[in-house]
Amino acid sequence: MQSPANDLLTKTETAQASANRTPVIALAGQPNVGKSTIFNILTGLNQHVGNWPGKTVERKTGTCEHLGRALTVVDLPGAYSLTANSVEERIARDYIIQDRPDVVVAVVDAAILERSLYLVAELLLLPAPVILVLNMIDVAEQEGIKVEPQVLQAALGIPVIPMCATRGRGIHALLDTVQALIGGNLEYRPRRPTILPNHEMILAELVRRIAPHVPDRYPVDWVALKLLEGDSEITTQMQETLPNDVWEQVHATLYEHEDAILDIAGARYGWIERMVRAAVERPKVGQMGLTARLDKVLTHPIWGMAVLLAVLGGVFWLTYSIGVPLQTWLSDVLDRLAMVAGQALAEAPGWLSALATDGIIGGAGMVVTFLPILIVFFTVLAFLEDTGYMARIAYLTDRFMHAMGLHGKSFIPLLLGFGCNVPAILGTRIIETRRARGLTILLAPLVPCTARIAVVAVLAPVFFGNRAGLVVWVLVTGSLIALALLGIILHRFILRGEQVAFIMELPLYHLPNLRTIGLYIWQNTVAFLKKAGTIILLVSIVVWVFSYFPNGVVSESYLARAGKWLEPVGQWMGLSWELITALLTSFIAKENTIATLGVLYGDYETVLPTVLSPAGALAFLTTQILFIPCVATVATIKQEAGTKWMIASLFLMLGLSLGAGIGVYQLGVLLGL
Amino acid sequence: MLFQLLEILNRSDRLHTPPQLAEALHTTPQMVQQLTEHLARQGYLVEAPQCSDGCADCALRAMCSAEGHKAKLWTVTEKGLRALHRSGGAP
Repeated sequence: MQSPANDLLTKTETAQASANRTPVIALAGQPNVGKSTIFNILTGLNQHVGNWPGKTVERKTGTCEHLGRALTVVDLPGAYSLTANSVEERIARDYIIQDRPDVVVAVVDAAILERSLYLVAELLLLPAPVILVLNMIDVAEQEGIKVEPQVLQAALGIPVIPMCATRGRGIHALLDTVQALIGGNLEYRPRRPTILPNHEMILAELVRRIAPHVPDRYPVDWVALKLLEGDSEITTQMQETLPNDVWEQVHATLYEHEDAILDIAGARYGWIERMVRAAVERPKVGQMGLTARLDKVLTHPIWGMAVLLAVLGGVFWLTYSIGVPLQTWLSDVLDRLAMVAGQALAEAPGWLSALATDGIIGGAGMVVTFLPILIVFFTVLAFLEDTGYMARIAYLTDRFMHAMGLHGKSFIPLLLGFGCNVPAILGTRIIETRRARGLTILLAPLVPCTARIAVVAVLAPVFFGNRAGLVVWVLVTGSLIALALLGIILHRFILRGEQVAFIMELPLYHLPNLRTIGLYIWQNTVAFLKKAGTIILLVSIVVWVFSYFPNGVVSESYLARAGKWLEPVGQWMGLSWELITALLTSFIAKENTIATLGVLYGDYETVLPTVLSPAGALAFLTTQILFIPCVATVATIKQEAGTKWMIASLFLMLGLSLGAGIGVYQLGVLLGL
Repeated sequence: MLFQLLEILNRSDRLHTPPQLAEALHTTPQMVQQLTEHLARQGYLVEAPQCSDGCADCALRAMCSAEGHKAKLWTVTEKGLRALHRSGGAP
């Protein structure tokens, strides 16, 4: 296979070119490979700094002397390739093509050869001999990467100089090699990257068409290759240069092979890989960096999951041992506050006292009790995020979430839902795509929060005595099964077709920064209080109005009327209007179910078993645990996803809970419960 | 190699890490990173935003974009899918 550009230089040509003028060395390389350090060492104080003609990019030139001979050194702008992606890349290639330096010194970072050699692959196609400088060889050695310069030199067919520029090591060897190459005393037979045979034919056709019109300074093969790569600058130049009929033929060929760049660049990477495989020895498992070693365990399908389960256990333990007691304590404080407010407003109109105690403190005040749980979760989140472990959780859980059309990142918000659905909805912010975020928001209320679990845990013994534990376990497990099934159904039949593959570059592990964690908790807490709190306060007052008016008696309120209106639905589940009303009031906060039952039945623990069959009790508890989420969650859904998603969530949960309640009741009746 | 990487992404809609892709392509994770960045420069891949659209007014937005702590996510663009389609690698 033929290279795109012929060997344009011979020993004689090189020697002749430099015989009558001061030889020019051009330093090329990517940014941050130590090119400027080498330039400074070579030129010392003999530097001139200006701008490249017509550009605002800095141009540095200088002179040095070696073995009694002067050399001009030009520091080319840092470039990743020689395609017209940036002004720096255009300057670098134009200089080499038009000014024809005697030698191009390609500086690469020895520790990241894969990254650095692409530029070299392109430099070898230009009409100037290339010397490769393996800079930062010491850093590569420290990282356990062993590069063999002689092997690389044999593989590339060009001189390779190992260097540690910051210590001045390798500079003399470089200058000796430059002199030898300019003097024609060094063999130069570069092994250039090749292209696929089918593209070689297309390239030959392009060369044939454009050859008579390409300006003298440009190698025709190189121009044709750049056209095939889709280089914007060369394409524009040739469009202006070629006669119309020729351009139309060329353009048709280029259009047909629009993606040739993938094969051309792919072949260059294949070439790079062969070079790296031949000359680079990487550290073994025992010598890997901390991140790689940790990831061997933490992203392992078995050990990684074991660690993850332990981490999740820790999250629950922290939440229940710190967050829930604090929430209970805050609830007691709120109760006392409501009592004090009631006493203070004893002389005020009844509605005002009820608004303050039941509407504002009992409704919006409930939000404040979420704070301890939120803070615990935000702390854990910030810690996991700041150490870099969060990304590993997303990666590990991806395979499970995938069945539901979700990625692992959805696992985190769903996990938060066990504490409270509000942070679960807020937690969906970490999800990238709108579809995945919406789907997670729809599924999050199906994770039974502490309040839901508490309500069924309180009511289950009333109906089922010592079998209550089993009933609660079945209810919680059933919720999670419903979540998985709903996720699969939504993914397969409604929100399908948008899922895409991702490449995930896992971040390095970090020691957590306490200030970052503190800031994260503070900002999240303030944002929650400001945004969710204001909406919740408003909605709480509205719902309270419906439960209080027209005459202050709950059983005759508009809410109760709605309950009675819904009684026919209740009958399908064996539920009275009181139980339906209790369900409705759980919209303000889940715990309200118990409070409402207390108001409507008095000693509900004694009365309920007499008015409700086991089948009805199971239906009630099933509906309760699957019922539409509390107002705080609904408000947060609206805030985070918008009204449409909120309405979708409400209808979904309402349909699911009532459907499940009816199903459970009818099945129970069939079984004689 | 670039086509192969696109094809792997197109065949499976899961999360892939550079080490996994490196194994599939018989190369190094460093090379996969390089290929990924190259495909992104050419418009065949795009880096997924770190914050979703719901985060537009989030006080933590600046923090979320902090370099080094977040996993970088890349996904195939329309141009990438078109290239696969033309090559017969996509439906």
